[in-house]
This record gives sequence, structure tokens and C-alpha cells, in this order.
Amino acid sequence: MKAEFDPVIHPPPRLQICARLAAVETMDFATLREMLDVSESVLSKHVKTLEEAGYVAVRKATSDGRQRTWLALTSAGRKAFAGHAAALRALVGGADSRAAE
Amino acid sequence: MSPISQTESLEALNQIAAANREMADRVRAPGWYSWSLSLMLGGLAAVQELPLTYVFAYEAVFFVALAFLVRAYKRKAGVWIPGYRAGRTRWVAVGSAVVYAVVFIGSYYIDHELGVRGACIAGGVLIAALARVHCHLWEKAYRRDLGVA
Repeated sequence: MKAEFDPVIHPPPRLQICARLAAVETMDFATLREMLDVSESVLSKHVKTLEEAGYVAVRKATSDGRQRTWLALTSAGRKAFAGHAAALRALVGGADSRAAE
Repeated sequence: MSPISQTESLEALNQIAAANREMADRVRAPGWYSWSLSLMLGGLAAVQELPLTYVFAYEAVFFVALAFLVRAYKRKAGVWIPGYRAGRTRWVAVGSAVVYAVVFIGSYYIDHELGVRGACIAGGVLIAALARVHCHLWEKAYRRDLGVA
């Protein structure tokens, strides 16, 4: 895995979305909204950005007569998130090793 | 030149760690889910004691019930994580499947080949008990995969 800073993922709301989606296969939009404590429009906007980058897949399904939206990180999204987290760790690690010198 | 400072990086890593802790707490399987799954798995072995017609009927019921169980879990938890996901959890899932297969085949052999009646039921009880343990182990492995002790 390549450690690479990703400007699409880095803004806090999108980082939070990716971190949660990386831990599951799929998550309900309403559940994610409740976890992040943000409005529907704010979450939609960030999800749209991630979807346009090819990092998040959006699927709508009807359950018990109501429509639910399921979100999942794509394999490109998982790779990008893992690479971004590795880049963050490398940055912090670099600071630690310089401080130790 | 890095695009962000080390302080910002640390803050972002802390956010990821907090998200992982939240997820680790959220995906704990409720009792009704793990008990149902354990009993259903045990039933697969226990039903081998009965004539083939009942075995087929149970297997059909098993898969329908499994689909309902997964659906109910997804609806209630709002998330889905396959047992076979990558990481330590995959080892627990594969290990569990191997153990169930050994108990299943062993109890079937003892019952049907050696003529020890009730061995399939005992095997089913053992699988149900092991499945409860495996649910617990899987959750522990999942927490460790997320870096949550």
C-alpha cells in the first residue's frame, strides 16, 4: 500500500465518513448521519464528493415500504483511505523521530 | 514539503481512532442475533439424526431464516459486516468453519457408521456452544483489527 495524502479524503467530515465506512461493508445513510451528528444536506454533499471521486458507492433499497440509502467504500476508496492514513502516520512518525534526535 | 502540519496529521489520526472506537462498540452483535445464529448452525448437525426429508426441509428453512436474520440485523444496526472480512476476523471465520465441519462430519460418522444414536444431536449442541464462543472471538478480532483493545 502506498502512503499518499489524499485531499479529497482529508477534510474532517469526509475523513470521518471514510473511517466509519472502512470498518464495515455497508452502512445506512441515516445511521451514518446519526453517528456524525450532521444534517442530511451536509452529509449528502460530502457523500456526493466521495462518490464523484469513485470512493463511495451509493445504493438505494426499499425495506418495509420505505427507501433506505446504503453507502459503501469502493475498493478504490478503501485503498485511498488506507494510503491516506499511512501518509498521516508517516507524517507523525517523522515528527517523532526528529524530536528524538 | 508536506501538505499539512504534524499537528494536523495527529488530529486526523485521533479522529480515525475515535471513529474506530465508535464502530467497535456499535457492531457488537445483539444477543438475539448470536443466539439465533448459534442455534440454527447447531440445528444443521442435529437434524442429521432425522430422515433425509426432514434434513432437506430444515436446510431450506435454515437459508430462509438466515436471510431474515441478516436483514433484521441490517435494519436494526444500520450496518453490515460480513464474517469473512479481511483481517484477523477472517482467521476466526475460517477456523470456525473448519471446526464446525470436523464436528459435523465426526458426529455424522459416529451416529450413522458406528451406530451411536444421538451423536448428531450431541454434535449439534457442541456446534451451537462453539458458535457462541466464535461470535465472541470474532468480535474481539474485529476490535483488534480496528486498533481497539
